[in-house]
Amino acid sequence: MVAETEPSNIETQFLLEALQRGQRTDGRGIYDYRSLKITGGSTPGLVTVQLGQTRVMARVSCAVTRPYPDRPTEGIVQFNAELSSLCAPHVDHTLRSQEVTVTRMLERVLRQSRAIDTEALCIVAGHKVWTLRVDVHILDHAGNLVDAAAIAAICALRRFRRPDVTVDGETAVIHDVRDRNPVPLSIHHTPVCVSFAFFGAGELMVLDPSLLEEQSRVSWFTVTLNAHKEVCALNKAGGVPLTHEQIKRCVQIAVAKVDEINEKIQDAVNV
Amino acid sequence: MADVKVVVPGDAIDTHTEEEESVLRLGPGLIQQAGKVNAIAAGVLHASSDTNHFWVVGNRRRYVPAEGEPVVGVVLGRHGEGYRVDIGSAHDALLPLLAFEGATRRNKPNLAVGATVYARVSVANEMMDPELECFNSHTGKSEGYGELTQGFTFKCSLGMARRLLNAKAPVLNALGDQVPFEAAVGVNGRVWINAGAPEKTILVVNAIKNSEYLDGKQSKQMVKELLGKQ
Repeated sequence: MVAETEPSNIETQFLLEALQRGQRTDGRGIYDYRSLKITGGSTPGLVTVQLGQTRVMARVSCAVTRPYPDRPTEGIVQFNAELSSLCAPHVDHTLRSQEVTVTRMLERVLRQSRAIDTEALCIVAGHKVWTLRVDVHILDHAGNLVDAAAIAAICALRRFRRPDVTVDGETAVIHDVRDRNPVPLSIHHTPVCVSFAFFGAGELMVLDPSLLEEQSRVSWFTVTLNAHKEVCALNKAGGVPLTHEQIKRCVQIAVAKVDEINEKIQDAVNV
Repeated sequence: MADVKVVVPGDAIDTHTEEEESVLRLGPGLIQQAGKVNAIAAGVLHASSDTNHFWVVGNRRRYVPAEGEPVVGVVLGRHGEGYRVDIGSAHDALLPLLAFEGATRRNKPNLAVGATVYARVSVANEMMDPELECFNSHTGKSEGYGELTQGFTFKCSLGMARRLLNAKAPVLNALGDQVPFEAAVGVNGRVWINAGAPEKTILVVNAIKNSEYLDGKQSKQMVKELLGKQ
């Protein structure tokens, strides 16, 4: 039946038993990421990320708008995540909570960490700025949407090219992409999310949870950091409390993992 | 074997035969519209020339219940005189409390919410919710049906589940030679495996999942490599 179904008793029982022996149900090690594949689409600004069976597509588009009145010299960046019924049998289009989680994470990771230079998006202060729209579509939900969506969004932003603009006082001329080559966005750094799930009373931990692990977890924690090993954000929303040793350990593991992910991102954006 | 003909919904099928008078039998995936035969499922077209029988063999993941088929389900709750069971179909199935071996009014089974059962579809038509039974209603014996405890379940495509039901399935035999395990295969695309220790169960589950697109020889090779790493 197409409804939010919880995993069966033997699935959760088996998952815990296997984790207590250090094994995961898909045969991975506890700190193993699934295989990550990033592909660019036909237009710049369109990226598909595949993390194991999870598939996410991000698309960046831009338009000229008025700025917010309290921020006249900054452009606007909007994030939107969508989970349609095609991505998993239990997803109903009225279940908004997962979409909100992913959208909020993207906002924290990319906007609040100041990864995107919004002042560079200003055309004429107080009148015209660029509004960027990052749409993330979840095509297949097999666990850990946040990491995959974050990678897709940052790759799409780095591959995106906006039309070139010449400003003369108060007037601005926006050049057609056929007349002048479109220009890249100004991105300060590349944040990457690394998510962990906890089980039992919080003592068992895995990296990059699969769908079953996500449905059975008691706590969830995401570390966001960039290639310079700077921690941009730590996110823990609800669940069993974690000790500070566990948090430190998660951050250390994330620091070790971010290199591999960043290498793949660099390959995908430097095309 | 003659060349394989892959059809998609909407393809017109040529069912011309030498004997014009014989009855044409259309199996799953084909319908007759205005005197022509059209495909309504995607897959490989099969034809049996001696019985004039045509059908399409396709693979999908959503299950449509049919009477007599074994399925693996998860109990969602108790509903009056039975349990509501999720078998992956559009509607939940009903499993009556008395449809178990040795069940009487005084002695009813007690399944928890979230329990896994292996059952047989007893009623399936498009007008009613499907119904299950956990025993053979003619003999009254459970014959392998009932609650599944321990072990692990996973999902696969419907075509894969049917291949696994064959006792000679290469991947199951190759695994069974080295690792003893129990399996309950539901044609609704859910499989239950119990190999005792969790590591062994995980090994068997992943080996079966990997064998979806492999043929017999490749399956044996894959199992050999997987077991060799242990």
